[in-house]
Amino acid sequence: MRQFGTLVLACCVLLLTMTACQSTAGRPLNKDAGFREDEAISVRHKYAAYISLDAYMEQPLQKVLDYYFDKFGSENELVMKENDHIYTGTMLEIKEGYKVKDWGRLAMEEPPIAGVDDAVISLYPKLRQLMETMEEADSYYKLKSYVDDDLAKGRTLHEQIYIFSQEVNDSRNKFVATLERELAEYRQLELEYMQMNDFMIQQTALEFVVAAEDIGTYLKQHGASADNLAELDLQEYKVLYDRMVASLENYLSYCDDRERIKQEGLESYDHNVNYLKHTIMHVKASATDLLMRLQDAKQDVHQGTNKEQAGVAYTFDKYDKEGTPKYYLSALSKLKLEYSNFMLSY
Amino acid sequence: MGAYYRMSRRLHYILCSILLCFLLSSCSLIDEIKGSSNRSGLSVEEEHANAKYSAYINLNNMMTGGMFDRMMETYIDEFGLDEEIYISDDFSEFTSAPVLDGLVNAVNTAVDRASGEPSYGDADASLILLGPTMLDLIDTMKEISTYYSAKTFVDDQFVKGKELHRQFIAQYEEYGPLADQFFDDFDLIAAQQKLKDLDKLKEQDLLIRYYALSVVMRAQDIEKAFFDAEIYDENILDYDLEEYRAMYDLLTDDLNQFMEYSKDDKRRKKEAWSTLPVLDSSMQGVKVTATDILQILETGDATINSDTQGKVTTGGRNAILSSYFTKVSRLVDAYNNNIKVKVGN
Repeated sequence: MRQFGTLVLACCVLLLTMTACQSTAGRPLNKDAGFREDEAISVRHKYAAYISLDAYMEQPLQKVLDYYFDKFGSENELVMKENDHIYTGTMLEIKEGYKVKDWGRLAMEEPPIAGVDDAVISLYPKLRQLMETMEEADSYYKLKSYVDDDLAKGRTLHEQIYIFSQEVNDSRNKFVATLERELAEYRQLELEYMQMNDFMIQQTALEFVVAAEDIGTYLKQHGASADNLAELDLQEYKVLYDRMVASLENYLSYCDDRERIKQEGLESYDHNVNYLKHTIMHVKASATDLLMRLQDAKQDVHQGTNKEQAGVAYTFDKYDKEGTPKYYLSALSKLKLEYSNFMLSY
Repeated sequence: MGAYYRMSRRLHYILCSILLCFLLSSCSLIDEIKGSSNRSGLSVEEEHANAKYSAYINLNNMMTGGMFDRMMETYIDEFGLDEEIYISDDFSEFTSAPVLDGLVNAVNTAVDRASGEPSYGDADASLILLGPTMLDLIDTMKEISTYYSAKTFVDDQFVKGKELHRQFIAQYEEYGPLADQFFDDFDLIAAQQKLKDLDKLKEQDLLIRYYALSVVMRAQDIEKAFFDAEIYDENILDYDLEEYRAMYDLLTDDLNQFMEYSKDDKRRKKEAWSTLPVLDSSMQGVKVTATDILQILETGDATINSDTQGKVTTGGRNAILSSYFTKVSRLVDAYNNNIKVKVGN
């Protein structure tokens, strides 16, 4: 049943994605990325772009890198696992790589955002270098060229990818830390502005995103993974979770209100196929799944706890990806990407 | 006892749904082909008539195997038809397709047309009664979809889920009879329209189009015959072989005619016709399954099924009729899409 559900969901997401693309036509951000030349770039545009850069590095990029290093070893020399096929199929494709070019240019534009622009400017060439090398590796393995040169180029590429990815990591950490700091301040101002103008959809959406990011930060700080869930503090998680539930309720009470959509200038965002709402619910559901796993893990540790006491509860088997910290973080990245689109619509 | 009644009613409803998948009228197209190059060659009355018929068909098909129907079916499959919600022991999520505003528009468009010309008599009256119930159901499904997507049932211990279920069931019970009434009333109109369409096509020597429509109608006739005789997968061998063979021959003849005429380049051009690959494959699908049924009746061996031949099956019962119904409904969709295709000269 879970599989079927995922399939249906996948279809919906596909459907929603397609429509969501169409709806970006009227926005300041062009489809093939980049601001219109005649458009004044606001601080909000820059933040929106940086949020998507952050999410981009977490999602398509990190996912491909994780796969790569898992397959070819995370040391500076390429090591194949025993009995593993070299062929990588489409697993090394980095989607929407063209966007990187844009973020680099944006950092040079006015108005400046202290610290963050510099971090991007330092990150950009390294990121680009890494992505170009990854693209090269992708073609190399796709074309099975390793058969022709006995993996010689593969080894060279591996050394480069190893070095470049470390360089990117250092710059990326700096970028993320600076962005988080500046963004927190900026969001405070935004929230005040939204409150003043009674922009409740915008405000509650932002509050949800913050609540969701807080859970993400908590998971990362504790290095949470599917294997060590029992070590997380259920009560601490529950506090963050309850805050998310409350902010979801707030958001849902406003998000479909046609009058408000108009009043807040959100008409260019497609509310018929509200992708933001969809990703918000997906993140919330992932947090709920994680709660279920966490409760389950705790019960396994303290044997003898009555499962009935937990109220509505369900469990996962070892094949399920849902409810793991990794799954949650991936859902969160998608939310950040979509929230960035949403920010650009008003 | 209650459960049985509901189940059988549900089965009845599903079968009805499939049977009632309707065909779009090909009238507007005929006029387009035959008429002047001026595309608005239709009179205002004719345009209204076409628009009204399309709106009704659209609504009808939505309710029978279409989005609206599937939306409710997935919900009922998960939570049951009883007044109190059924939650399976291993319940962890419920995913429904997003409830899109297109549904609301389709209902409103049909309701708007109901009071317009030409009059469909009883069908108009029953549609006007039906419309608001459908809108209520769509609203409820929207809430349900949000509630389960966000897994709020964990946070409120299903409190709102139970409430939404009761609301859904109440509306669904109201919807059922109104929908049946509408199907009955509109069935007459659609049947007349189909015959009218057929006559017109033949009269104008549009034989590809004539046989395409006829194939679909023959395929539906077989479906209806099984349904009327209360023959399902379980008791398929009870159906009379000769009766079936007669219908099968009509289907096969028309299918062959269609294949023949649609090969003719000149004719295709004249009729502005192009066969979409999906129509071809749906016709083949219907034909193959119809032939399987014939062989089942001839040999008395109910395990024949070309689709599963050579495949590893679980050894369950051979659902040949269900498969036939599905294929006919696919054929109807393919036909409806095909006649919308505009072929430039």
